[in-house]
Amino acid sequence: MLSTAANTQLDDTQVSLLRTVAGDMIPCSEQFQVPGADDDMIFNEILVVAQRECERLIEALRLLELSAQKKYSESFISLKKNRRIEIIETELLDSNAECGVIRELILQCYYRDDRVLRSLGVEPRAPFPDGYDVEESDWSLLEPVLRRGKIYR
Amino acid sequence: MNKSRIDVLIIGAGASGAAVAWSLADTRMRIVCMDQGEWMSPEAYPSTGQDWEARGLSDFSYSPNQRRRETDYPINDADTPIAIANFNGIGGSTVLYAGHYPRLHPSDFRVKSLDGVADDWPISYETLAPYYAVNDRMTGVSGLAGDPAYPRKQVAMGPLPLGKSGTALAKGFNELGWHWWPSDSAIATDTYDGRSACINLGACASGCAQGAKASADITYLAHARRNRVEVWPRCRVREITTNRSGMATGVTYFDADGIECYQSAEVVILACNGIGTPRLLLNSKSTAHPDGLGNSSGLIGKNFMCHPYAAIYGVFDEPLDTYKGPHNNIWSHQFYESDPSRGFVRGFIYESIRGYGPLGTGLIGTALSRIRWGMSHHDDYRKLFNHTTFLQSICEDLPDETNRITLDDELTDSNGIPAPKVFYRISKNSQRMIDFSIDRAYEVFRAAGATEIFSRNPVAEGGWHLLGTARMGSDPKASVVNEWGRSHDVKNLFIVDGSIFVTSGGVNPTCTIQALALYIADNIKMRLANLFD
Ligand SMILES: Cc1cc2nc3c(=O)[nH]c(=O)nc-3n(C[C@H](O)[C@H](O)[C@H](O)COP(=O)(O)OP(=O)(O)OC[C@H]3O[C@@H](n4cnc5c(N)ncnc54)[C@H](O)[C@@H]3O)c2cc1C
Repeated sequence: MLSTAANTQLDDTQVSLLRTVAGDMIPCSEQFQVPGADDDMIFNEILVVAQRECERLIEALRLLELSAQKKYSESFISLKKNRRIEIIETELLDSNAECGVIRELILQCYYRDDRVLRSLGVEPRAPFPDGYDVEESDWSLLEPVLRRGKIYR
Repeated sequence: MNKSRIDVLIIGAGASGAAVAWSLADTRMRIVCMDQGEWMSPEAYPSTGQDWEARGLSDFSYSPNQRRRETDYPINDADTPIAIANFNGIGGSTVLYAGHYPRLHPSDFRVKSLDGVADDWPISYETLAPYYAVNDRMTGVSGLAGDPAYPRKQVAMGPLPLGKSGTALAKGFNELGWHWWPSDSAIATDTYDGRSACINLGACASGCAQGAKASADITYLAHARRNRVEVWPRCRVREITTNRSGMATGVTYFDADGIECYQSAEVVILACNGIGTPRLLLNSKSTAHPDGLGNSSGLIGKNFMCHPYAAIYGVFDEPLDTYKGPHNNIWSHQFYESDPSRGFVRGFIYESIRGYGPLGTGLIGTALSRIRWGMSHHDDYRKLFNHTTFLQSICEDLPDETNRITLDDELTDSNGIPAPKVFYRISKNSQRMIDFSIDRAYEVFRAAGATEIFSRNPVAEGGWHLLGTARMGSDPKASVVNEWGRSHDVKNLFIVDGSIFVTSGGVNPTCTIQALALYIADNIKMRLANLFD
């Protein structure tokens, strides 16, 4: 279940619009065994994070809705999926920098979910304190650089 | 806080403020270093949480306008293609810096003589060389001695690992017969001066929880405090005050509760960076200094340089190690020195960046239309994630008076102090250099075996090198401070940060900023008896 405490600043219509957008942008995939960005847990996180940029987000959602009305004279949610994605692509990538907030919001909550990270082969954990191993260096690769000598004035 | 007489008041506890404080400490004068920011807690740095990348979009964003901490001031950067990046806290922007730590080249100090553009510096590489050496030791620079791009110099520790991405790129450069070398980095690869060795967290640019990266709070300031330098956090300076004879007398500042306070000082040193410093000087108007303090040349805020960057990405079939290990890897100085046949003057370095984590891949891939939305998202994403490494070209900006910092008419910080406003355009020379750097980087990636290559320019969030807005020089009409950092107009006012750069060079500046701060401190120490003559 979604927690309602989180969505204090978006109204119900905005929340459902955002959820539709999230699921359109990153749908679940059986092939990769990952949830979509509209998954309960991920979307709940999205609503929590949304509070920081709520004003910008509301404006971005308004622009998406406006674009749907302008282009197809229909509300965004009632459009077919391919049309919704087309609007997302144009609004997020081309015309409105304001819509970038949706992109940042969805991606940041999606790509820290344990299930998603595991499917990418990433351990779901903080980098600190364990860090990572990086393979040893082969410094003999520098021989040709040394042979060519000084290059400064 | 003991508010009685202070001998030396340093404003700004970042890279330069910390270095000058440490060096002056052996005079046994009473030295206070103020900063509007607070002490950082490494245990609260993003890499201690699974949301480490996401915090780069909020409280650890590069942009003060997105970060919006109480300790930040807003910057109007609507009129520049490159947004301003900084950090306001004890340690300054080194809290976030990546720790790429190249020196300028000897030729950078003689730009006019060698290439007929801009101006020569009033000092030479040789003047700074001993200070570079002290600074390398204090910072704990890792690298490999013998780089043919520089005169001989020492390193304190072995280099950061090449890893898979560095190795791939090194082979590409070798294939073309071009220079590359492991980057000098302000990151400890061994325990050093009480700091732990790097454990490859991969999150250098959001604060190093391990303490391996040399931010100024844990290098210079740790030593300076042991030597009785006082650090006063949460003091936001509104104005430097002056007396009738035009000498600086102290500062008015706001404390953490927003209360306006006054502090007198014998000597004032500015270390607020290439934007904070002109902002403060322009905010310090008086009858004696109607255009801002120390501004008889009219040059305060002008000649702003910030190094336009291009980023060139290569995608490889085999998995790399993009999110493991420090960002820094290798650099190439192949195109650093001027060559008229290229169609531009001056040059650039490439620095290689290992790559992005899961979120970074999504952000950059979608922004550049390499990752689509909808069902294709997962396939597109997996092609890039942990398979993409990149080169950034750091292109030399030449000084241009129209690129400038002024005060915004309306925007203020939370204490009502007018905020800075940036006007900046990429010059034709720089744009030709950027385009050239992209074309050559494509060749490197092709030679390295990349299967897909793409780029972006400029790196729009990359205004992290803030230089030139209070330039040094011997002519008071053509510069703001003299050849040892003292204001031409106000004899007890010094500037030690990136503002005093005459030209920008084509490398990251912090190593030079700190060496300059040590050089100016030494000059102050040598002239104590007649400092104000
Ligand atoms: C994301 C990022 C990555 C970077 N990577 C690199 C890199 O790899 N290599 C490199 O060489 N450089 C890098 N830099 C740049 C580097 O951090 C700066 O060059 C360096 O810190 C500048 O030193 P400074 O002393 O001039 O100013 P800063 O370190 O910025 O310090 C200025 C201090 O002054 C304080 N201040 C400003 N105004 C006031 C006021 N009115 N009252 C009180 N205090 C004030 C601020 O709070 C701040 O703490 C990077 C920067 C960023 C943001």
